[in-house]
Amino acid sequence: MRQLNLLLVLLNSAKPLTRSEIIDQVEGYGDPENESVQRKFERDKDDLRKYVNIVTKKDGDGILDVYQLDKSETFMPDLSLTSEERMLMALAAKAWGDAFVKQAANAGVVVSGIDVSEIDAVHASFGSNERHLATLISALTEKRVVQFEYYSRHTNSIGHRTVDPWQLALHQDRWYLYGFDHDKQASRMFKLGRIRGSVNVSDQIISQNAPDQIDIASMFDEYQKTEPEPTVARVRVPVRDCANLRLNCSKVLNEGDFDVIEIIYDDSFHLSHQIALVADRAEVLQPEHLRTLVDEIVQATVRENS
Amino acid sequence: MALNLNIALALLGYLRSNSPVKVCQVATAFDIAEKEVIQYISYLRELSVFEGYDRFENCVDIELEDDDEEHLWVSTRETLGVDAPLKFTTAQIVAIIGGLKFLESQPHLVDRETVSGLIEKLSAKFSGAETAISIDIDPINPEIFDTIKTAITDDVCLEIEYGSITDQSVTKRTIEPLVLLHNENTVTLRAYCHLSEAIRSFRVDRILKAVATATPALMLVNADDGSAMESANLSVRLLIEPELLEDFAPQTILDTKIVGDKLEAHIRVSAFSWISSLVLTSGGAIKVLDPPQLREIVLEKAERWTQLNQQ
Repeated sequence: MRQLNLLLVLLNSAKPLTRSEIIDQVEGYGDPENESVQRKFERDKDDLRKYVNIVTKKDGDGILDVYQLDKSETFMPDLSLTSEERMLMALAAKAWGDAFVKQAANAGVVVSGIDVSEIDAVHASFGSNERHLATLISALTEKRVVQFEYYSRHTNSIGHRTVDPWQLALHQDRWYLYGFDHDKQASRMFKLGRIRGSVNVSDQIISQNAPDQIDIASMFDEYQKTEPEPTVARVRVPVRDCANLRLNCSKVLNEGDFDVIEIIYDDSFHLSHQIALVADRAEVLQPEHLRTLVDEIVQATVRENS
Repeated sequence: MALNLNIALALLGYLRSNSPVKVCQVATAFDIAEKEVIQYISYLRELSVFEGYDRFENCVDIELEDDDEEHLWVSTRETLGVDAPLKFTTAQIVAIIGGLKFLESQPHLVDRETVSGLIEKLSAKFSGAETAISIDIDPINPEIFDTIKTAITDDVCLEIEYGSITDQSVTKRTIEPLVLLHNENTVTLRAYCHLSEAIRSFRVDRILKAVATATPALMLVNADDGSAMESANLSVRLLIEPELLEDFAPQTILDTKIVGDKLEAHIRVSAFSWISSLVLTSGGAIKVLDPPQLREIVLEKAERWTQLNQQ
């Protein structure tokens, strides 16, 4: 309650106020000279700063701190939204599958005066089943360092990571965190599914700001590309079978009970796993390298399950 | 009840810009109980400003009135200094723009240009929020999607070639499309299937081909919805790398326990064909613990691969 009163005092003051002036004018503080009252004020001010912009300056004599609310940073700017845009914003909020993120988006939409009940006819959702999303969005927006235990597939081990979070990305149905890894002293991509336990948001503010331009899509493309040029794979499969390969093929040549399908690819990791999914009826005709990759996957499974 | 500053601040701006409003509407908008709304309103009523000489004056005038339908109404006559809704917090605008980027990747659902324009407009007003979340989802084949939509509107049958997720087989089916459902990056078509003689769900991204026919849909509204046939009735125990658990729908995971760096997961499945393929493509990241029959199927499939691909 005191925090809201503090907000109203700042809202209604035409001039910047000193700490003593504010404490005098806000009901519930008490004696401005009392140290515990001053500490209360500092705590309230920090709490309010999460939601509104309180500017600190020096007074006319350059001695005392004075505080003023930056109204342009506190109240909604004129967005001039069309009815279609308002509907889209409500739909965007509703689309979140994660309850906490949805609540944040919804709160924003609701406060801006948009009626979320207008769009019941359209259903779309994403981002559920990802328990770290809300925590990471909050850390990212507050520019706070995060820490977590992370499983590295490369080293097959779990290690502690301290990261400046820069961007969250949904790519091929999986969420990733892109940020600055303190231990590696370099930018890194973390798959959220490999985070063990919970994500801890520290009080520490990030030391490395995100680069001006982050092109995540290109980064994924480059990261996943295994072939220098698009390569043609030819795989013989039974007719009316191996739908996963057919969905991405460029050509189908019928050979009686079989089809030879051609797939143009640059990510042999992905394609070899797709072929392994139907390994019992797929014959890789070319390239040999791809057949070897599939064979490695199948033989690793055999070793683990024999 | 502890006062949540975020909600109280938002409520102040909301009441200012939406007054008068029903209490139940406020509760729905903020996802809180009606009695919590009343509690917040009583807090806000006590807000005060300094009038000089140690005198404080209440500054928010909120009235609760019963209307004919016995709804409570909240109206604010004056909220000093609050002359517009509060600006979005960074978390709110990041979540909204993230949602818009998701919609941008669903051109079958919304007008992509309008969404892009809105993202640009919001990004210009709220700097820094645009880059926080990136969404990259493979779009659905627009021709197939349009064909389905038209067939639903025209009440005609569709002939489709569908790739089964369970065993990757391709079947030709005549279906009567009923409704499109959007969920977790996938769009599903509920339709009466003449082959199964039941209502079935078809993932639109698994439809290889769709052709609208002139045959009117019979609209078999009393048809068996097939849920019993689609329900999973087998269970398996796997030793699995935790991230691979994402491949399973949460409702199919019966139990998990940590075993070293891996998880032992008890999972309900509808058929061994799908799960055996998943084990095969895991490259050893999934070990079958039970039943032995599943392990045998995996090994048989591996043997078949070797026979087919011996050079």
